[in-house]
Amino acid sequence: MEWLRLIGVAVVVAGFALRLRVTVIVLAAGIATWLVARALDGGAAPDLLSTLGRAFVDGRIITLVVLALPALGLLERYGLQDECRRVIVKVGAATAGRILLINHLFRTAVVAIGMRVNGHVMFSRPLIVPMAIPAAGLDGEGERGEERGEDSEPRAAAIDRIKGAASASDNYANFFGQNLFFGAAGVALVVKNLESSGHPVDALTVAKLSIPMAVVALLASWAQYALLDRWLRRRLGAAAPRRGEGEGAP
Amino acid sequence: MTLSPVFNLEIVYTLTGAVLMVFAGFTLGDRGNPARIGTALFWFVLGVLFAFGTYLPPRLDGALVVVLVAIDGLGQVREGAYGEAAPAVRAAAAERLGWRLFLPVLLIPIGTYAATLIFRGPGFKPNDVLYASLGFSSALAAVLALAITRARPVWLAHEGRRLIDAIGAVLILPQLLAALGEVFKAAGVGKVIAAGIAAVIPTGSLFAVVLVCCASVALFTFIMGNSFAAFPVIMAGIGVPLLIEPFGVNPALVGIFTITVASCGTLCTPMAANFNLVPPALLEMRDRYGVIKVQAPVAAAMFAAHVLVLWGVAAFGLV
Repeated sequence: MEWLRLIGVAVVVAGFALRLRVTVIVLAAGIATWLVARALDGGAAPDLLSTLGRAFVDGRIITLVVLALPALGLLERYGLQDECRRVIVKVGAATAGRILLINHLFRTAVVAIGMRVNGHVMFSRPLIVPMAIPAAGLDGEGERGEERGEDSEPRAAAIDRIKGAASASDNYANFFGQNLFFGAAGVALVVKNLESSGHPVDALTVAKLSIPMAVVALLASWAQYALLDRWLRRRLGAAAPRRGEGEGAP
Repeated sequence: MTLSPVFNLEIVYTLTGAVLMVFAGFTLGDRGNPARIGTALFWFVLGVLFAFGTYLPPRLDGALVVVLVAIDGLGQVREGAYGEAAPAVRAAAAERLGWRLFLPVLLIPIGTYAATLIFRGPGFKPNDVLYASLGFSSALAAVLALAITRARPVWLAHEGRRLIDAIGAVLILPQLLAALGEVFKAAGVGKVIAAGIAAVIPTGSLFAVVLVCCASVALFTFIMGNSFAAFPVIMAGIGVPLLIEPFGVNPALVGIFTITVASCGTLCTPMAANFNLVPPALLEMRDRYGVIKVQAPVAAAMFAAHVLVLWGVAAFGLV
């Protein structure tokens, strides 16, 4: 009956399949797992509410980004995204894919010096997405497209794809770049684990051995960014000049 | 005198709790929100957990978490009205303020990094300095944004809650999933998975062991949403006894590849909410699984690369 302990995994799969609210799925999975553990282990099972409460409070560090929201919101009110668009329209060679490639390299450098910050809040929303969308010839949320009487559905799909790829570029750089820093938590975990199993290694060696996959991740992502540009060109084609429309460009 | 007491995460948690309570207060007065009471209560309870979570009994914290889930489950966390600026007004402000708009955005990472360089050494915990100065830099960025725009401070609250409402209840998912991970761990889910993998593992062929090692750590991570829970289990079950010891593969190589191949699972799972579900909410995407869909092909390519390189290096004794 040991396999019954996996009931939480089944609840999660069923919950996502039924498209239930994710917070509810997660709590239900926790309750189901706890019920099974209590049935199998009796009094040895930990208290559900305290485990939940303690872990939630210990995890507050993940949600510190709340403090950045007032500043970012206020700057958006005063045209931060419009300013991003103006800057990017001036850069002739900018495409969505190239901006994501630069973001990938920049974020790799940031995590490689040991700065583990939430790039989605700090870079993607205020800077990267507002630059990538106009670079693909899509203005903001499509206001000007609607003025031109264009079909808004392909534009919305393209904007969604760019936003998804922007988040992805942040994740790729973070996951495959963070162990370049020899003080990274992942490197420490490897060192500690191997030490306890009788195969001591040093942190610098581990960090160096993360270089090959950081490079492969860059190449694989680069291919994806280039394909994104091609997809955008085909999809939006002649319907949307890449940039500078309505601003006196020849 | 040392400054180390300044870099206390409790200060930042209290500050975050206060900000959430201010959001809750303004939400309560927001007639444009069809569920203003539920939404206000949600941010208020989260604020209480932030400001006082350390001091309340864990069972009460847990009960408050259940309240948060109940409010969201009843669909009572909604978006309101924030008095946003018209596009033309926004464009005119951008014209007027120009590059200065970027200064507060850049202040957050630069301020954080500068603090980690200045405040190091005995007495400072590197992680506390990093996260505390991230919080302080964010608060400073708000002050700088006010100075640059000369806006009334009330707009910080309205624009801040506009963004937090756009994210919605998804904001608490990463913490909730971390809590689920703890429940899983306490219930012995990891042990059951490890026993299942041990039952099917081949031991003769180097390629098969490499493949199973990579696949099982990625799958385990996919289920738990976190590679740090999967790593020790897979290393103890496969990496050390079946790869490092019998085949003499470089331990550091096996270790780091097992960590990064696990990320291929992270890239594909909704259980890693802070990487895969919060960004679609934050960026106001239509498809809440849009990030995972973009990442899946790259994750597959990276998985194949890990298996091939680890096998090749081990088979030909390159490292």
